[in-house]
Amino acid sequence: MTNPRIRNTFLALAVLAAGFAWQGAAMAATVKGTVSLPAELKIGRRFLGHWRVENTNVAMQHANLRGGTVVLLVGPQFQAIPPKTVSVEISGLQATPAALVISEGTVVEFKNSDKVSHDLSTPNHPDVMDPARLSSGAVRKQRFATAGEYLVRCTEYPHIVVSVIVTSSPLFSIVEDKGGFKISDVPEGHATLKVWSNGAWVHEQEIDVAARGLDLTVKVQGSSSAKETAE
Amino acid sequence: MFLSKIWFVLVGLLAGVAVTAAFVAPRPADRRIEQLEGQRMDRAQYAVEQLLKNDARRWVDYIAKLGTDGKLVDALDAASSRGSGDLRPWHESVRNRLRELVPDRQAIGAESIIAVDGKGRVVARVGDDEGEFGESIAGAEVVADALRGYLSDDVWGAGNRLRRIGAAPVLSKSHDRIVGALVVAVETGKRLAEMWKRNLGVEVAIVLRKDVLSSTLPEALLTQLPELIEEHAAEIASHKRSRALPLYMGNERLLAVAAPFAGEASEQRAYYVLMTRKSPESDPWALLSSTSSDDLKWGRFPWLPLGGGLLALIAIGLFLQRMEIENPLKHLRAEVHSLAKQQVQKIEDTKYGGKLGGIARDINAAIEHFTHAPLPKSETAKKDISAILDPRAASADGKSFDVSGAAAPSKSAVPAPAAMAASLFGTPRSAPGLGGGPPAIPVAPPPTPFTAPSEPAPFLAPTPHAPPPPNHQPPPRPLPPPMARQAKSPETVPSAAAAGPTSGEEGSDQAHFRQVFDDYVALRQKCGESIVGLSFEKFTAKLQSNRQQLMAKHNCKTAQFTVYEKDGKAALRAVPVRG
Repeated sequence: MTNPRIRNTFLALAVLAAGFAWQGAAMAATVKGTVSLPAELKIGRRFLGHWRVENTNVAMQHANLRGGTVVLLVGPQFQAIPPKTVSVEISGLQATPAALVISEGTVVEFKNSDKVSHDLSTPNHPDVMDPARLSSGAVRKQRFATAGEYLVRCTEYPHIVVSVIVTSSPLFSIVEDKGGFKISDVPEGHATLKVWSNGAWVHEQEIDVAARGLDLTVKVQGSSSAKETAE
Repeated sequence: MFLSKIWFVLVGLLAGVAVTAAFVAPRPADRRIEQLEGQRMDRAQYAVEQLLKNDARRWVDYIAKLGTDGKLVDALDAASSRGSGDLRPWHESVRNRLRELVPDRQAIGAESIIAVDGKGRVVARVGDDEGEFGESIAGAEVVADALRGYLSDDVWGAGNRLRRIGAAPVLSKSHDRIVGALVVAVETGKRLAEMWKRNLGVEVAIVLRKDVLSSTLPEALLTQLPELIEEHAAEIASHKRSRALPLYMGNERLLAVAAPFAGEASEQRAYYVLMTRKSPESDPWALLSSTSSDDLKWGRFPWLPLGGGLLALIAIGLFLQRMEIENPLKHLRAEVHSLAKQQVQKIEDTKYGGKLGGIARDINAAIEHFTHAPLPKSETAKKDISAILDPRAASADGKSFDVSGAAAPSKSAVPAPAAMAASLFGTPRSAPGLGGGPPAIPVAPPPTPFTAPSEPAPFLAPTPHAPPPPNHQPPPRPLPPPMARQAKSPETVPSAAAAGPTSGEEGSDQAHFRQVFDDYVALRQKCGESIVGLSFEKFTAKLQSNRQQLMAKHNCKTAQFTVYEKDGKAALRAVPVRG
């Protein structure tokens, strides 16, 4: 029924496609590891008063990083992620997630689930996001068109900070509370690993991604090495 | 007037230095005062920081102690174990318990107390929004810290209010877990500012986001304060305080030190500002206006040195003025008076320096101009003729006329008739008769008011060196020639020719010579001198010969001779006549 010539041709193409597919899968690797933050970045407070003393009965609990730490790879060839809409909810006087990695043109929806209103803006990029009151239950949509790092702050509650990293790289990972991260489909080759935490790039290192992937322990130095890029 | 001018310049320089010092001297004092005020503000700011710190700890401890209340612990423990359910069953009990525990909440300065369960949900409030509960505030850092087991403080600037926050965990009764937290919000406004003012003696303002929330000074007058802080925001952020900044409140000058509040409020540009009134600018007028009577008391003010110095300045100035101006003026005036009264022939202009000397010379020149009488050359001429005619009459120093004057019987000054005859004003200072010498033979003067009478008037015309008439009484008017002649001293034997015409007529000359010869012979005889060999012809020839010499030498019209006694001997004197 089928022309043997045509059948052979399809078979050959199928084998070729399978070969290409295998080759592509073999070029992607996974970069994973642990980010170790200095004490000053994991105490959970950006603003300290005069006193912070431990109670004498119950062991102290670690601060929740709230997803505010990001590992980003730049340099390798990648396919840019398309713009989309992402949401940030402000509830209980905190924003979740605390950090976003989005592509250019992405729209971020800020939803206020608190009983109090919030005044959100990007003070260091006033041309991007003007201060505007976000009433309880209201949503504010904001498009980030240009690559860069933006800190969306609440004027009334300065501890509410949303880090918005606008980049074309899809190679990033939100660091877990315990410091773990994992970035899949990383092309082999040279790349730059950057760590974002507490509103700033706090670490940067060069890595060579092999076919078998990388397992890194990223140790972030103290404030002296922190680069307040966004500030 | 040279010294007077120098003195005035010195006094002017001294005054300039004094004025400069008056304006400049307060500047270092101003800077020092400002520096000291700045240091005082520094200490005040440090004290405020310590007060804030102590206060924060006090409130943290207070709320931690409050969290040990059994009923609260039970209620929060129960609410926390409720999960996401309704907190209403515990809201009332917790709120009432808080009211019971803190009955004097307002009195102690606590604006509100919030109880949250283990998830950070508000169980109850006292103070603000007491009816609100259920919402989560777990995101607030101080609350999250408390729920992790920390006792800490913060400062919030929400809702255009500034509140100091203290939070502490509430532990279960078994002390093995955290069942919630208590948060206290403390007033941070007028009351706090007034307390700091009472304790530190400085004015206080609290600023939040370019608004003066409260102040011990009228807030409306502190419009420049937020801008001032914004200008120095970087300095404040880096040093946790500003230096002492000048601030103007209306017409008042203040020194202000701004420092940020701790915690979240630091991000909200919340500052406390300590201010003190600056002393007024220390310009001389401000200094004078701020002096009191005590400052001018004897013991506090150097009246004696200052008064003595001023008197010395004035005295020296007056002395110099008197010495250089008033006295010369007085003398000049006296001389001018004497001149006007024809008591002197000219002003001794060499006695005066500067402009007074110029005035004297001008007067002399003017008088000479009016009289057209040049200075007599009589002195040299007399000497010549006397030496020629009678060498014995010449004195050792060659000034026969002066020496002979010593024999004048009267001490009253006798004017120099020759000089008067020649010119009232052209007499040389060494003219004969000025030192009381014998009267010279008067020569017929031109009939002008300035010329002297043809006859000498010894008692009328004192020499310039002679003392003025007593009591400055006007001297008697010149007598007519006959009377004057009668009034002359017998030793002064004027020649009759002196009163005669001085024309060049031969007859008159012969008569003049005869008269002189007769007088001469008579006087020699009187003096006991020999007249042997003395003939009129030889005498006349000699006189004519010497007259010619005088006329040639002095370019005069003629010469007149007089006879007089000198040292007990007869002598002759020749006076050239120009007019």
